[in-house]
Amino acid sequence: MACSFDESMELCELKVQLTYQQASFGEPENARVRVELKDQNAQIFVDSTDISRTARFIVPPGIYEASTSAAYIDSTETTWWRYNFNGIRSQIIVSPDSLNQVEMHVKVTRKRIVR
Amino acid sequence: MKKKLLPFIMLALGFGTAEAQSWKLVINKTDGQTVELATSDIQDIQFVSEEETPPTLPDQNIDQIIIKEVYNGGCPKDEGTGSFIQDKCIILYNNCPQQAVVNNLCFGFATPYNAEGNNHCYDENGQLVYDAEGFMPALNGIWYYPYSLVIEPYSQVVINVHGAIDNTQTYSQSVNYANKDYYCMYDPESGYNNTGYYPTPADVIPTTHYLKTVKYGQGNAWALSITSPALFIFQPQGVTPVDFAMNADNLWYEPTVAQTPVYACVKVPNEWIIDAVEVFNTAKKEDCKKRLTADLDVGYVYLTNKLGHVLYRNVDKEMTESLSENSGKLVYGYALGVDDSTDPSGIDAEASIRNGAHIIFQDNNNSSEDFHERQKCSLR
Repeated sequence: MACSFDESMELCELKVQLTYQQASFGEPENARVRVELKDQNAQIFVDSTDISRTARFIVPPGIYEASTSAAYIDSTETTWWRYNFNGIRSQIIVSPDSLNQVEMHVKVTRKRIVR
Repeated sequence: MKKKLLPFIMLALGFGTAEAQSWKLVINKTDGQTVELATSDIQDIQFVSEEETPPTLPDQNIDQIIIKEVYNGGCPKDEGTGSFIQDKCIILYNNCPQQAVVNNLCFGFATPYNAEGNNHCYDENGQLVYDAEGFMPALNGIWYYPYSLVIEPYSQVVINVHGAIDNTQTYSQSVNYANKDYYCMYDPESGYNNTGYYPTPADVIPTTHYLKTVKYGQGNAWALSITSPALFIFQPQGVTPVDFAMNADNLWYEPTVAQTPVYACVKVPNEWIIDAVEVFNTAKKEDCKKRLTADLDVGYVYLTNKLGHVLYRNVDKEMTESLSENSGKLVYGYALGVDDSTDPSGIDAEASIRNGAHIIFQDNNNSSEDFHERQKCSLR
């Protein structure tokens, strides 16, 4: 059972699993990636991914937006690169009778650092 | 250098006097051809020296050009009765130690106009419908440089969007754009000809600094949001800005809306986009929705408009401090943020630049981390 039906504190567990499609750029070095969850009042909840790349939130039913943003600099080559790992998933509906588990695709981009 | 001749010609001809007579301008060209224009069709005549036309240069370090500031929200009028919003600008910055050169640089903003507006672009899975196709819908029209734009290392260029005059003469909290180094979006022949937004630019701005536009939407002024735009700069690949924006195959409309000029967008491929920023409206936080896709920008920066505030890029503290030439030149104690929104580096970029420092700004494709709300535009 993912949710409590206690009327005084109705909370649900939402799982947000990160997926990486552009394997050629790899994944962030830090396996624990910060994930933010924003409710409709712009209140922010934060968690980090576990080994299954999943962040877990205990939140009231509602509509949410999840996002993640991580960056690192690769300075091992002559040309330095900044890698950005960004993902966003909007209109996530959390309710007691929903699965409350979504995937969030992380897009990887890189940009030259000219020194 | 530009010379305006028409007023003198019309004065000499007695144009406008009681005698009802129509006149035309006749140009006899050296090749024997003749061009005739009715004076009623002519706004003014300008002679522009050829040496002012910038040469075409090869592209260089385009990926280092970033949006440094967006001033779109207007400022209070002095008399305290409302706000003045016809004084917008965008400031670009070359974030590297080498010269940057970009040809056909374009400006666009995403649909809908405001982050808090009705957004029909989300599907049932909470994904933007254009995300999978890899483009951004540029609403209303695009502006472009018709020549090579050169930005010196660690330097900026100012592009006025509306009101390329000294607005401080009327509203002291506005911006003075009467500067020979500034550029402006001014192309009244395009249909963007509302003189409230497009007064004749200040005389000191060379006509070669006027950007051109392709208008495919509704209205007589480029409708950059005064609350919350999603702005991006891009360079078309293998096609001119005009051919790209005029091609009906590139037109696109939000799902469910009428396919009229009001909602007309052109599809800008994401790989053409150089930089982008997403602005949310502080007064309507709960209604704001992302328009930029995650590969371009994953965050948002809040703006309280009509107060002279600006969206300003944060300093990359580690990279900036690592520059040996900045020793002793960086100014700390930055205090121009708005409420909780500030530059976490603590470095006062403008004061440091005046002190001779080279600033490297943060660029994580995340407006939440890369920008803050600043009390006033750096041009003030």
